[in-house]
Amino acid sequence: MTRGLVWALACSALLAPAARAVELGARLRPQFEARSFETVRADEEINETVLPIELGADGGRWEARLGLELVSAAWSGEGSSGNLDGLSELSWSLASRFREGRWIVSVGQSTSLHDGALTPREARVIEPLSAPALEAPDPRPHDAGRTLLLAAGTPFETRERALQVALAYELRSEVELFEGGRDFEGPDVVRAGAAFVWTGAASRGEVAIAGESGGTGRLDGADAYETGSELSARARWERAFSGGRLGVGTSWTARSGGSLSAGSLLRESAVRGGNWGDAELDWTRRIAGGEGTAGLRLFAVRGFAGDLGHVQALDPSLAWRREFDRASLGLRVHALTGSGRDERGFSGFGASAAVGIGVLR
Amino acid sequence: MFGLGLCLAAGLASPELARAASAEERAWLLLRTGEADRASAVLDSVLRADPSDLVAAYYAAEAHARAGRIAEARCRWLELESLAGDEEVGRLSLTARRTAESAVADGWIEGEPTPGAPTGRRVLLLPLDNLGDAGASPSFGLAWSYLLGEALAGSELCPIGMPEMLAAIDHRLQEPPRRVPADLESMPVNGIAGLAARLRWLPSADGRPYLAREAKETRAEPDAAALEKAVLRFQSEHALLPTGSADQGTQRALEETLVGRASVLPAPLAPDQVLPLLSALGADYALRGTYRVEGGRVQVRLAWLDRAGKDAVPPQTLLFSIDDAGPESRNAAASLLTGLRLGSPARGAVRPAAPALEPMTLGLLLSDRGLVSAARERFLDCGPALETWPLAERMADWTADPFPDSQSERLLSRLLSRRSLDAGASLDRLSHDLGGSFGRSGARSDPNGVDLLGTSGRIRVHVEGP
Repeated sequence: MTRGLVWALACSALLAPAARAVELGARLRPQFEARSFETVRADEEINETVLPIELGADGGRWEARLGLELVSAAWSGEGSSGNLDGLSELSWSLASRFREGRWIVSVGQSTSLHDGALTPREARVIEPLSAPALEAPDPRPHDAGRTLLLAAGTPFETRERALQVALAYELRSEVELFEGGRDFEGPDVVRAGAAFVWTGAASRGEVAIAGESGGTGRLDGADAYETGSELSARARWERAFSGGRLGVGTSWTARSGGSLSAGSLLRESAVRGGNWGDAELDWTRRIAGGEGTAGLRLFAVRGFAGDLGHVQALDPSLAWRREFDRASLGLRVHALTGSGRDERGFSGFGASAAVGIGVLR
Repeated sequence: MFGLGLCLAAGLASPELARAASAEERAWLLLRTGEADRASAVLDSVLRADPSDLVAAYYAAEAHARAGRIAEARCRWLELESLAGDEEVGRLSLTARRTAESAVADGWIEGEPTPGAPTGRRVLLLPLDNLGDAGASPSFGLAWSYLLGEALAGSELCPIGMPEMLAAIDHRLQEPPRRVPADLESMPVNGIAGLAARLRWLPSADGRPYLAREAKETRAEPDAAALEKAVLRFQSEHALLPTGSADQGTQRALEETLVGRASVLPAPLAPDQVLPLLSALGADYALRGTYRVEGGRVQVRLAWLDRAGKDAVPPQTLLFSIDDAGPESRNAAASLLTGLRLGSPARGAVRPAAPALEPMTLGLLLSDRGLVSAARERFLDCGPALETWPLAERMADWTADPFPDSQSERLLSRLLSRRSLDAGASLDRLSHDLGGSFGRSGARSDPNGVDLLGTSGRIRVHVEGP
């Protein structure tokens, strides 16, 4: 039934009458992230390079996306090391827009190409990459396939205010964990969110809240655990001045702990919850034919399991973006400096670029 | 936010205007229906709320132009060029400004137009008079005007357009105009219309055109006998075989004469001619000065006169290497602005390559006298040195593609398609919060947009090995 619903939505998006000629586009976003941190046992280092490639088509009332992601991640520490390379994910999505773009229905799938058995070495790489504080691009090797059904819309809109709501259902397919095989099926989740956006004199604000309710994860066909639920909120306010634009934002996520089933092979830490939050301040102005942004962000992670489940760090960044007639170019560098659990060191560096052409500029 | 715009809309009779969703849409409808003053008021209210809105600023300038306030529009476009010269809005501003300047300068060919009211913000950058340079840099006085104009662009002091100033100097000196009228260059010299237009334009040895002008129409079909007589006269005055037929040699000579005439530097004005010119151009201040080149160094003496002919700021004497002409001109502009308490220059100093200063200035002069193709050839001759002078580089780009209509359409589309709320982008971001990956303006479209494990709530799975 679910599969039928997916295809029905996909077909409805494709069959929606095109209001104008189809516009095509592509986007490349190479990213490099390096992190080093101390644990109670050793110094660890993670370097990761991700290259997401997206192709898009926009027919006015519908849009289609096709994406793939290449990843090269390496971890070293505790006298050992591991790496993960190759094509990590394929994805597609179809979205149909109604009522002048105020409502959207979308269906999408992503398939992890690492959804086969993981070698222990790959798993060792994945584990630290899953830490909330690392903020590295997501290689999704443990995630297998995901199908997302989403509906979002704007039930209320005036010239200066709008209220928006969204509902999503995510299905996760079965995956074999580790060589020699244990079948793992992640829990399906339901998410809902709402946003309120407004404008004032030269200013613009946006607040959003979202929640997620998880289901049951299964190992070898048997219930293994119940995931916790999650609540997140974000807010951003911008004010334009003659010399540039000031932005202030914050976000916060709280995740409750889940529960293990009797006899589950999972560790309790696997379902532990926690909090994650940040606050940022940025200034954007015209520079070198585009827009340059200098930003400063503070973020903190509390309560999650592992060495990086308790972190606070400062994240200064510089970004530049320029739009051309049919393309755009963005560059960004940032650094991280802070501390982890028990005041142990945590630092990092990242650089990314985004080249967009056509509809994805 | 758009209070003034709303008040105006309330009083509009047109149902289309009443239905307009945004101030920008109302402004465009008002512009389209010829109500430029009201469009200007609506756009200025948008700019009061968001002074960084360059698209609204472009159309506000256009509204002023359509309302007949060309000088005001020119200054606004000039400011936009200095703010966003490399962007679409900057390039369109350059095109719009050049079109407006050309129209005003063409007006001086027919006679002295009515001057605009003084605003306290306009300056006339008369070329420095040459007191001796051993022929090394005869156009330095004009180059200095261009450099000062570039340094003042975007400041609170707006330079009078160079095409207008050049045409006005010719008019004041009662010389046959050196500015080439609109359309003449686009007419091929080997056609009757193009040939006649050139002969009607070029002055003969006695100062009158070779072919008598008939009213303002330069495209009128000439009498065959009169045309032959004019060609004969041109040939005899240019050491050509007097056949009366416009052969290739005659055509080449006509083109060279046209370009040569437009390349002549503006003649110096007598002291008593400055204030009448300042007044006729609606300027508030005028640069008056001289230069002398000795031993590779330039000595410049500058005075800034107000409408009464008095020094608006103390006169200056500068001595510098010609390589430093760019930074020195910016310093001079900064001194003027400081003296008038009008802030500081909006841009940093430029440093044009000294060997190419002469050909680049000539390219600018030809362009400002209406010979776009000839100017492009001069700019092409400058090679990579063109990149050392942004003004010349921008003009070279403009002479290569002066009418980017498609850009204009895109800018209009940007003006009209914007929702002040940008609710589409907000909806994309909310969808992204829930795992969606579509939309051109969502979080995934910028280089900062990475999927964060920590915020996506994905669970960490630790499984004991078999």
